[in-house]
Amino acid sequence: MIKKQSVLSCKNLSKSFNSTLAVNNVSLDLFEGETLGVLGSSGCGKTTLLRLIAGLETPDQGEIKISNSIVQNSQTHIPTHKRNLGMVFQDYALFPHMTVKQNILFGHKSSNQTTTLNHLLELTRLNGLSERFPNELSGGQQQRVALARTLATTPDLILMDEPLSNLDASLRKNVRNEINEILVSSKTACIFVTHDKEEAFTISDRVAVMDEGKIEQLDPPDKIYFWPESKNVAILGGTCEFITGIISNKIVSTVLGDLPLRKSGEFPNGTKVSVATRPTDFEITVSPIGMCMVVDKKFTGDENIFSIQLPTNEILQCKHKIHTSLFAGLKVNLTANPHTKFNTFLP
Amino acid sequence: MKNNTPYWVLIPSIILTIVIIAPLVYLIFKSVNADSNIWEWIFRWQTLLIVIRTLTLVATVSIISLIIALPLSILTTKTDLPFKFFFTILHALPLVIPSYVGAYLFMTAFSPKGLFYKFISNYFEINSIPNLYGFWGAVIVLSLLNFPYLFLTLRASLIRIDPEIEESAKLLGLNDFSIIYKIIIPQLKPAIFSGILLISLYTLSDFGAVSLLRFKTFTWAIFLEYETGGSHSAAILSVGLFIIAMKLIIFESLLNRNFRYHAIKSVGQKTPLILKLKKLKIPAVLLCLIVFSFSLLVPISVLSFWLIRGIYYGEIVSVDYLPIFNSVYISMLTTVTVILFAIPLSFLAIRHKSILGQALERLSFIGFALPTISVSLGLVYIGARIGSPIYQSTFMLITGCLILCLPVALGPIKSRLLQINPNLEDAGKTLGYSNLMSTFRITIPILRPGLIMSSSLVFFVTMKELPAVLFLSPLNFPTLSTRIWSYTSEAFFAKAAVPSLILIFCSSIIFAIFLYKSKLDFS
Repeated sequence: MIKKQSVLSCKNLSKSFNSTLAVNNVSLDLFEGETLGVLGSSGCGKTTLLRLIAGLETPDQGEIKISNSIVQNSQTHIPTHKRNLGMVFQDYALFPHMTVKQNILFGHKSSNQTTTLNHLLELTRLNGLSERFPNELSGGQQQRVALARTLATTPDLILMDEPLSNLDASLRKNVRNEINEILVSSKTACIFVTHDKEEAFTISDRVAVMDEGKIEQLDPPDKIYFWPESKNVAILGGTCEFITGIISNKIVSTVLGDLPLRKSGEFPNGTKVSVATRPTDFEITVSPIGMCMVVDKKFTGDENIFSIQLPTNEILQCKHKIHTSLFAGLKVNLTANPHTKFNTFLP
Repeated sequence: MKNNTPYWVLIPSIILTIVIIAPLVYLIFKSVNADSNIWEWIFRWQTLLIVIRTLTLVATVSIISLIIALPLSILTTKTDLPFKFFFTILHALPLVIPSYVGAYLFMTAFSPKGLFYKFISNYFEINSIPNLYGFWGAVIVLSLLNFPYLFLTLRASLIRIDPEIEESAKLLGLNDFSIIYKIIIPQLKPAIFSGILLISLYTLSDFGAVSLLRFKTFTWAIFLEYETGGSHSAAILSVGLFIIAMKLIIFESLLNRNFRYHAIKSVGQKTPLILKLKKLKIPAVLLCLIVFSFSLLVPISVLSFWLIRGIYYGEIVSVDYLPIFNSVYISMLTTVTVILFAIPLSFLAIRHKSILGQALERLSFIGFALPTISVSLGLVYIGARIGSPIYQSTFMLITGCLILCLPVALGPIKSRLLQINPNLEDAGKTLGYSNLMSTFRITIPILRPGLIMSSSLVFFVTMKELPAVLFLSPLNFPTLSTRIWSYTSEAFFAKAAVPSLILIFCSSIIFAIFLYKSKLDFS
């Protein structure tokens, strides 16, 4: 296997604002053509991390290398405009006084302007809009202009700060797929910041889960979902409810019976733990002597999600088939799906 | 926080702060060092009288301006008044008449044996009309010429009131007049206070009208002391005037602090609610016409009378070009200087909120409280200390005008800069432009409408400026304003007509540019 070139390498980055640590000792590496998703709730420091990489903020400590040359350490601070990277802002930051064409070519320095423009208009499907002003475009079009403007400078690395959050739900999926295609075809490395796990999972090769300024886990999307290393990662990686259980050998015993462990031997026998459950982990069966009860039903169109109250008064979310006669107040039993394994954490 | 304020922002801001504070510091220094007999002279009955006269004038002008401006602003924004656009322009226009021109016209028209007396004595048997010099003259002139400041402030606020609030009031069963009393006027309170503050400060620092109408307030008293060589007493009075202005500003901010919850959101494309005037339509139009007649029609007619009379008697046939050239020259230099300093200061205030930046911005705000005459006097004394080449140089005059015009210029630039997304400059940087280049290629072009508005305001204010020019201009440097003032004080009324008309004409053009750029939004 050929070893890929490193595009970005951050070591021990920290940055605080007025004594709150926004970025806390973050290290990460990014390779050619790779897309890294940074997933975290608002205020977790993910935008600050991007701005540090871009050079729009100066870290309190740490080192940043772009394409193997140091752009930031305790002695050096290469300013943003010399780092050869691109950034797509949450609000796109299109220049309101310039046309689409002027926006796209703003940072383009070589002479073959028409070729580049036509290529980018083609790539981002903006043909025929080059003389319009940003306020005459739809949200999705503005998004693509921002992307084209960034690609025009042929950056080594693109940083995207919640690029889809200003689009409505129906548009988001399309634009997400388009961005994915454009990134793949332009072979540019990208860091993609989002609070939406679905976005992070579908677009990224690897996902960094951030919380309170720290990267909690950095792994491929399926690993984040199935092998979360902390309670926070489990919650950020998908809908997640916790029930209490006690470890014994390779299983954890809970009010819903003995459940198989994903990682056995993590805790000694007899440890009281929180067991993470996903909505797909259990099967609902109706039973007049069932020990659980349906308390609520949420129909979203594509799926039915039921809130089930356990004898311990804990409430779990469970998916159920779309055609169903379950209703609130019904007694049911929950049985774990045969192939599911469970992650446990200290409460 | 970030403390990477660029030098092009920091250095002009520091220079500016020093320039603004220097005259005040010097005046305080001079006051403190005054002899005890001067302090005794200050603490006498007449000084208290000056304070009372000044404050009475300020209060009366404010109240009368409010009585004129409030109904007019509501009529031109919230009702189906006919010719709304036309009346809006007409009620803004009295600003082009400087107070000393207003006073000159008022004196010649309403003196005991003036034009008005001659006109009505053709029809009635009267010996003379009551003397309206002094207090009432100053009140009438300043109210009629200054009410547009309040009118424009109120209008700007009225346009921003969210029509959904009025519509929900209507749905809750309020009739049109209850909407005005219970919904619109309460929301206007902050604008009323800040508009009155504006009028108070202008009245407080007015020199032209009170000096010509012989009403001895602070400004005229300071001028008389200065003329007769009482530099220490002039300094003490100037500091006193500054303290009154400062108190007014603090009082206004205390009043308005309780109204922060009135945050009015931007309206966007919503159509405003229009109240139907019905039977009140004719009285409303009459009210607008009456205000127009007294604030604009009468002054222009009297001015035309003097012009025609002057031409008829052959007093003036040639136009003196030197004062026109000097006025335009000074106004242009001031405009360029003010804009060059206002841009960095706005960036400091809005983009670089460092501790130093905030301190500098607060200090530069003092410029807003500094009455013209205090600034000019402080600069004159500093200039006299340093001597040539500073004393009585154009440089000194421009410095004075810079301090006076800065608060005026900052408004449009700052509000425009606030609307510009700071991410735009960051985007420029990620696209390969340095900090400075991003600012100049992206932010400055978007700022342009604000810059044009500020420039026209500064040009306009400098053209009209009288006391600063009287105190600071080089020897033998006549401007339109000083010519009008000296002709009027020496009772060459016909001679004053030509420069007055030229000044009003030039001001109107500049003012029209401002009105056009602000799209009658006057934010």
